[in-house]
Amino acid sequence: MGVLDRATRYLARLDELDELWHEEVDPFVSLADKVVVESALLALVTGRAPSPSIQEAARRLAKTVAPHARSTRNRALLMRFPHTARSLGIAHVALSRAGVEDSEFDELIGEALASGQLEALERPPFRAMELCWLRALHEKTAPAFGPLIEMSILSTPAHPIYMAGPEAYALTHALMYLTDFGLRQLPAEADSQRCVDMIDASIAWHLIGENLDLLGECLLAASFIGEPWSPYARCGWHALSRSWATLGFLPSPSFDPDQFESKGAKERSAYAFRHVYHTEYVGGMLLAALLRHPDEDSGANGRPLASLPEGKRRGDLRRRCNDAVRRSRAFWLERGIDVVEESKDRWVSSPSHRGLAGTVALLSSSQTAAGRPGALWRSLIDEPSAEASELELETVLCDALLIHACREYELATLASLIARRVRNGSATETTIEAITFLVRQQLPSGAIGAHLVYDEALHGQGVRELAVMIDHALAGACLFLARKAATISERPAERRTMTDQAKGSN
Amino acid sequence: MKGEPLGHTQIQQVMSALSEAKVVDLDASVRSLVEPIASALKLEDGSTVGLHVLCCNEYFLVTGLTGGPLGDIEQRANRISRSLDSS
Repeated sequence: MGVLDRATRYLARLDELDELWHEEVDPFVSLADKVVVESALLALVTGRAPSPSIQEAARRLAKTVAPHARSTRNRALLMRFPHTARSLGIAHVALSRAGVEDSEFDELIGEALASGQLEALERPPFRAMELCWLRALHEKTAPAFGPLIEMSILSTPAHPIYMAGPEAYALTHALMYLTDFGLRQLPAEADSQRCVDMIDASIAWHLIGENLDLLGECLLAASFIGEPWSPYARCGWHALSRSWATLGFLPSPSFDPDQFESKGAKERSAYAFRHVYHTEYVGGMLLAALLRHPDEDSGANGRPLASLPEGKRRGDLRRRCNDAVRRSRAFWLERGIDVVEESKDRWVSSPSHRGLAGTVALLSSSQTAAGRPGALWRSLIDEPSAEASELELETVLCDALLIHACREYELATLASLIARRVRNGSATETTIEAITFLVRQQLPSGAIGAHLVYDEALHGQGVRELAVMIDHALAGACLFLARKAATISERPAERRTMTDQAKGSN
Repeated sequence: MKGEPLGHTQIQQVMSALSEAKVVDLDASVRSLVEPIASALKLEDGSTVGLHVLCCNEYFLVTGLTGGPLGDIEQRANRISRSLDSS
């Protein structure tokens, strides 16, 4: 409710704030318009919570937002430029469904939606889903997303190892619109397990990336998918809620504390709200969603760690991995280095490097912000929760570190982690993606690592060590993948062939 | 894949412009890319390593979100919170 009260207080002085912000989202829509739209959505989604006090607070917010959403300026804009209904229309429709209606403005929106001009803009698939959702909300019908799901990121092999910010938002927003913010079931055309996997990997990404906005949106999406929360979601919620409690607010990734401090008192308040509101709104919607699905999402009946699915993709990876190891070894042998010989007995891990402790040690040694004493992920260790076992915690943090190592190109960390995961026989989808990433770093020469594009880099002191680590990791991955294939094969001949391949890798 | 390396000055200019435009947080992005590899290679001219590592990861650099690190925000949380509540 604090989120709603704060939003209502600030929206009451929106005109004053708009003068202090001086920001345009696009030539037609200002930052103030964006805040109005998102405040209307907050009122709609939180108003669905089964709590009279929250419903009343949501209604107060809706009434405060309404004059801004249905201003004279907006009426003129919609008449002249009907495509602005894509953004300005959301506020009106959300307010109407939240119980604050305006029949005249509704006719204006209807006219704009019927003009055909909203479809005349080139937008990503999730924005087309947004329009579909908006129409259905306006007409009080069930949305028909048609081929949009197939065209969206939900139907791709997207993974946080490669994703950038826009893709992360595309993922979360697609799930918001497809489910009408949790009110409807995910359409059958969307693979719910695949959606869970993508969201889980994204949660792991943001646990180290510390983007609280995207972390919150991922948790919101996890609630909307309709499946019990995974260990990733439970850990993500633990970290987000602890951060919220500690800070007293939820900063957006754009919050620059130096910029904040450089301003006078009035401007500071405007700056702080501008760079906090979106993440707090996500937090507010998430709390409302949790109130509606308490048992499914709390972790008491949470889903366990998913077992690694089988498939052609892993067979292909096994072959590529074997090939990568063979070519890399040949490359180094030509230069007088036997990486197989050098790797023998080098990695007998001590107890302190195994399990959760080992993962925490690796994270703590990171040279990036992830290694700092107050890093977001540490709340999972410093204040453990009964909602995740030690194994689940290790798996989540390991995935987070794998993603981080790939994105930051920390090949030594990546190789070390892969070696540990495959030795333990406990790989996840992210482990498989990380192995694939490492295999993709192979040059035509057979060397692995972008740093070896230049010949002079071959003579660096650490190159040999890194090559041995990478060989150890990929050789272990080959064995792991062969064992996995052997356990599902029903044909003895095929099993012998895979074993021979695995032996050949060593 | 071989090719002529980009001059350090050219890359420096591009990165400075991206940093000034707050598209890239140089401290979080470039340093973490360059330093581990440079220290592993112990090359005297770390910028040569940095150049082709940057080329492999430039997509991340130009699309990454920037702002203050969470640690910096935590240190000023009380002031920020008071400011938010002052409205």
